[in-house]
Formats: sequence, C-alpha cells, structure tokens
Amino acid sequence: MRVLFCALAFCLAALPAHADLKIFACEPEWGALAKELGGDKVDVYVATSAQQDPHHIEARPSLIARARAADMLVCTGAELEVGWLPAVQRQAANQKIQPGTPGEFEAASFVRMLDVPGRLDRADGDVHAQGNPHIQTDPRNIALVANALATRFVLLDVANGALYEARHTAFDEKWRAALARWTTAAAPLRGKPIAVQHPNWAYLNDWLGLNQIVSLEPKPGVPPSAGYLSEVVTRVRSMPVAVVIRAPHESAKPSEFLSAQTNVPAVLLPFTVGGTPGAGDLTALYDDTVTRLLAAVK
Amino acid sequence: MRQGTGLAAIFGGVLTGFLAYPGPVAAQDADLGAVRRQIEALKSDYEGKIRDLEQRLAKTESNTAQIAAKTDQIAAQPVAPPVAKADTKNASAFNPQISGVLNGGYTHFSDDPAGRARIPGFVTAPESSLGSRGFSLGESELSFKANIDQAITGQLTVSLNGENEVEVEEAFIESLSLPLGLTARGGRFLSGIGYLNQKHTHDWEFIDAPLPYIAFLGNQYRDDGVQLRWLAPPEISGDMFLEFGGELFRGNSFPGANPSHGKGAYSTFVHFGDDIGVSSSWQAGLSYLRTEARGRDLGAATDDGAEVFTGFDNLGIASFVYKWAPDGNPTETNLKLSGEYFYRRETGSFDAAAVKLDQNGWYLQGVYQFMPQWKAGLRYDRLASDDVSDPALIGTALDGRNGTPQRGSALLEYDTSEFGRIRLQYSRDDSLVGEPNNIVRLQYTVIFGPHAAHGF
Repeated sequence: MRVLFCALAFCLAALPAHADLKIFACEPEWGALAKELGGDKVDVYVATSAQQDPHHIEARPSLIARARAADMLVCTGAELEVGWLPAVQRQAANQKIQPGTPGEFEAASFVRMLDVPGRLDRADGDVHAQGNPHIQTDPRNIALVANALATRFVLLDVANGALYEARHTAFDEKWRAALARWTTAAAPLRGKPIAVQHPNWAYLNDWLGLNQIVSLEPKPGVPPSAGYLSEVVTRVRSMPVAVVIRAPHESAKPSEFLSAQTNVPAVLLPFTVGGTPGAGDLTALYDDTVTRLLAAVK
Repeated sequence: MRQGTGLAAIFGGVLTGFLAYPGPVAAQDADLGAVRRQIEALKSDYEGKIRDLEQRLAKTESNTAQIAAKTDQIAAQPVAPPVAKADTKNASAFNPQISGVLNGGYTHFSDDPAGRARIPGFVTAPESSLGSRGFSLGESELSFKANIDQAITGQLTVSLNGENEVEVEEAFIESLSLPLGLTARGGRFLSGIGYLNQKHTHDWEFIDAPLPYIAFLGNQYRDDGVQLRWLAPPEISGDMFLEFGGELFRGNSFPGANPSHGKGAYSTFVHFGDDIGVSSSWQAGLSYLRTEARGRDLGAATDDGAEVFTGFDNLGIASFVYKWAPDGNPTETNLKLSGEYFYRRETGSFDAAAVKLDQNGWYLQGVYQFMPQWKAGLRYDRLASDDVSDPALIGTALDGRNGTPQRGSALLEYDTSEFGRIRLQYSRDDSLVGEPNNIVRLQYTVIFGPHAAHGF
C-alpha cells in the first residue's frame, strides 16, 4: 500500500513529463508490432503471454490497473477477448479506451476474415460471429494491421507523427522482403494435408496453402473425447496427413496421442511472439513457423 | 486431305521434270541463276520469319516467367482489406444485449427444517430458507444491458423464482465518461462490499451462500441507492489495482428496515490486488456497512412471533481471493481460494430488551479444476455470537444456546462448456436449531445470450 507513504500531491508533482503513448496490448503479437512501429515513443504492456489462451483470461486486478493508465488498447477484436476485456474496460474507468473510441484498436477490423459462420449457434462450439479471430497466423495480415496501426498512432500522437510514418515505411519494406522470403521457402508446403489441434490456423492454411483435413476437437473449443480421438486416428490412417500442429497454450496430449498412433509428426508452432524459444520477435515468429513446418514435412 | 497430298505429289513431279529438262546451256545458266536467286530470296525470307518467330517465342517465354513471378509476388501480398459490413439496417440492431440464466435441480435433506431455517443467536431474513426438498426450479434470470447514450449505460436484471414471482434483482444506470477514474451508479444494485456480494448467485462457486452472508446480509446485500467508485491512477497505486468506493442506500434491505428519511444505510469499501509472478493473482478488500432498523419485525412475516428490532448494525468485512493457474493459463487446471471474515456489532433493542451484541463469522473455500470441464471444491463456514445475558432475551432468536453454527461442504462440478454447468454439493450443516443436517444438492446452471465478460 504505497498510498500510505505517498501523499497525493507529492506523487502528482513527481509525475515525469513524457508524451509517450501508453499501450495496453491484448496479445504478444500486437505488443511486438506496436514496438516495431512506435520504437521508444511507445510504452507497451502486454496483457497475455503465448502460454495463455486469449479466449480464457481472468479480468485480473493487475489488468484493470494497467488499463486505467493506458492511452490505447491494441487488441484482436472479433470476440477473441469477449470473456474478459469488456470487464477490464468497464472497471478501468478510462475514457480513452472505451469501446468506439480511437484508443480502442481492433486488428481484426482491418483484414479479410475467414471462417465467418453461416449460422450462429452455440451448439456448433466456440464460434465467432465475425469470423476466426486468430488472424496473426498469416504475416500478410500483419502488414495490413501495421498500416492501420501506424495511422492510429499518428492520430493519437500527432507530435510524433513523422516518426511513426517513417518507422512504418521501414517496417513495410522489411516485411515485404520477409514475405517474399517466407513464401518462397514455404513453397514445398503448398497443398500438404495437415491435422490441427484446435481450428485456429485458418489464416496460416490460407497463406501457405496447407490443406486442413481434420481437427482434434470435435467442435471448436470442445475438448476431444477418447471416442472422437480414435475416430480421428482411423481417419488419418486412411487419409494420411503430413503433420499435426498445435499452439503453445494447448495441451500436448491429443496431438501426441495422434502422433504415437499414426507416426504423423506432432509439431508445436509458436502461434504468437514468444510461443517458442525461436520466436522472439515478429520476424522470428514466421521464420520459426516456416522452419518448424519444413523440418517436419520434409 | 488425301486429295491435297496427291495434288502436291503431281506438282512435285512436274516441277522435278521441269528442273531436269536439258535446255540450251546459256539459257539454262541464266534460268538457273534466276531460280537460285529466287531460292535465296525465299530462304532469307523464311530465315527472317523463323528469327522473328524465335524472338516472339522468347518474348512469350519471358512473359510467362514474369507472370509466374508476379503470381508469387501476389501470393506474398497482403490480402485486400474488407468492405465494412452494413448489417444494421433495421431498428432492432439497437436492441440491448439480452441474456438469460436458467437453473434448477434436486435437493435432499436428511432433516427438513420446514419453513425458515433458524440459526441460533441470529435473526435471519426470510430469503435465507434452505429451499424445498425434491425437485425445484431455481431463480431464472433475465438480463438486459445497453448503452443509453455516450454518457450512461444501463442494466436490468429480473428474476423469476420457482413460485412464479417476479423480482427486480438489479436495475441501475452507470456513468460511461466520468473523468479521473470515477464511476457513478444509481438505482437498485448489488453492493460492492465484500467479495461475493457483487457477484450474481449463478457466478458463485458453491450452490448456496456461505453462513456469514446468510446471517449478516440475508444472502446478499442489494438496495436502492447510489454508488461512487474511484480507481486510483498508477502514480498512486504503483501499477497495483486500488479502488475506493462509497454507497448510500435507502436502507430497507435486511438487516436494515423502515429507513428514516429514505437513506438508512451507507457503506465504504476499498479493493486492492495484483499479480504474483505469471501464475498467481490476488485481490483483497475491506468493507464497512452501517444499516439502521426501525421496528424491523421478521417474526410477523413468518408467524414465528414478534421479533422486533430497532437499532443499528455496524458490519466490517475483510475479504481475499487468490487464483492460480500454471503459466496463468486456466484452461487445463486452476485453483481458486477465497475467504471472508465478517464482524458485526448490533446495538439497540430487541423485543423491548436492550441489546449490544458482537457477532462474527467467516468462510474459507477452495475450488480446483483438476482437468478441463471438471472441478472439485471444499468450503467451511461458521458463525459466533456473544452469549445473551439479559433474561428477557433467553429463549429468543438471539439466544445462541452456547452453540457454534458451522457447516462443511464438498463440491463436484462438471462444465459442458463456458455456458453450462452441473454441480453436486454435499453439506453437513450444523448451523441450525436441531440435529446436524445432511444436505445433497444437484443443480444445473446455464447461461444463454451474448458471451458475458466476468470480473475477477
């Protein structure tokens, strides 16, 4: 309780005068992108880690405290954070980041959404009305989001506008080169049949031309039963897949079971920045993703 | 086709014969020269044409390569942004979020304390009954939420109980755009005191309320009034969560009654919390509630004889909650520990005898998710009260009979998803007048409508 030792007036006087944008990033990839575009002009707090499922986060007191101080939320949107972010926004009582304000940035609004459901029914599992929210598995989406995010930075912090624009131009150039490199390197993956643990790879499949044959969840978000898994094993035996992939926040058990039964390599992909030791930043995220897939498919 | 081939053969023969015709030598030489020139001309003409064709071919090939390269480039290009969807053509797009909660179940008592459950030493509200034996429908809730405008949001929660009675659980408006971390609320709402109090009963870990909530707050404290909360900025809290709040109520909810001037109760509270590493987080709180009762007669309502109380209740609550999950990822396993300590001083007159009683109670509970969809929990709760010495109070509801009301409960929960759960709870209830009661409850709770965001 530092408040006991720190009189209000003293604390306010001791406030450092800086114009940095305080950013509350919901997921590591957006935290990393904000740092790429903002450099030392942004102060980024990342609310979740790669080991956590962004669907299932507690609206912890620490998140509310950070959101209270934020100038901007950088989140995925498309209902990915629907279970916790609205509670954080409401309790944070911070006008700058309320829904609909420029301080609330939703990355999914700037890309083409996949898996938009034809019908909305919870009996279909964990479906999202606006489409699959895991847009960061396709680096082409990062370029689109970067474009929108840089524009938003300029809007919120005009004083550093030129810097954000310059950093964005540099990032865009770097990203285009990297995209060409990844796309060329990943050419052998095109058309390969794969199995996934949870259907959160729609954008990766779209980018690399992977052909998702089967999911280890009977319905999105519904844990597999033993009966369903043995059904999957039978299917994979008759229709082999090159690889079964999962994200770091998912249990290794189902994919390892499938791997043991069918000799299909089980591959952990970083999914987001920090998901694997090799995925330390945004570029490394896709380097590592492509490398791991190529190593397994070879 | 065949005719054409035949004609060509005849012409070919004629041409050969003509070329082989032995004419005069000079004429022959001149003719030969002309023919050779013609052939040369033809040859150069064709060679030019072939070169031209070869060039064209090369050009086409390079074009194809360029197109292939371009295709690769396009594959590496970001996909065009979407066109914003206009799915809001009709007026119903402005309808509020509507969600419903259904619950019901089966209850077994080894000893049915028909009517009001009496906890010796405590006067309890009629809502605090144990419920009925056998199958029953719990409270069905309907909740409507929407932003009213840029400044106000509103929420209405109506509950329909198994006896077909409708009750306004909560109906309040809340500010959206106050500066400085302030939030104001007005209407009927669950008070921010304690930890469990502001959670709806369907969000509680156990099926029923802990004993101190039953004894001191009539299950849950809700009233008509206003609330102001202030979330301290990080410069003061040091990135910790630190929230202060105060409430002013009409004061007609248990333990208050018949308020003077319609503002008979007030409360203040502070909540604070933080993370410990990536796997743990906690929140604690201190709360104070003061209520006034003027001629509160709970006995009259329940035919238990006069139980008239006039006086004040001062209640203090210390609460904490601790949550743990490996790497902060609760999907596989997680643990939630919580406990609250209540201390109350009641002063005034009970059935015309002067009272000044100190009472306390606490609960401690833990719920562990041992695998996805499955949870197990334990809870212990107890109450204590000063012995009454005034002979006028011996034998009344306030006579504790030297007992210690206490209860132990075990819980097993299966979640079909985030929206549906089935719970089995066993309690050994030694809190009531009479023999310890073995209680088994089986309950389902489901939520439909938009996915709600849950507080900590």
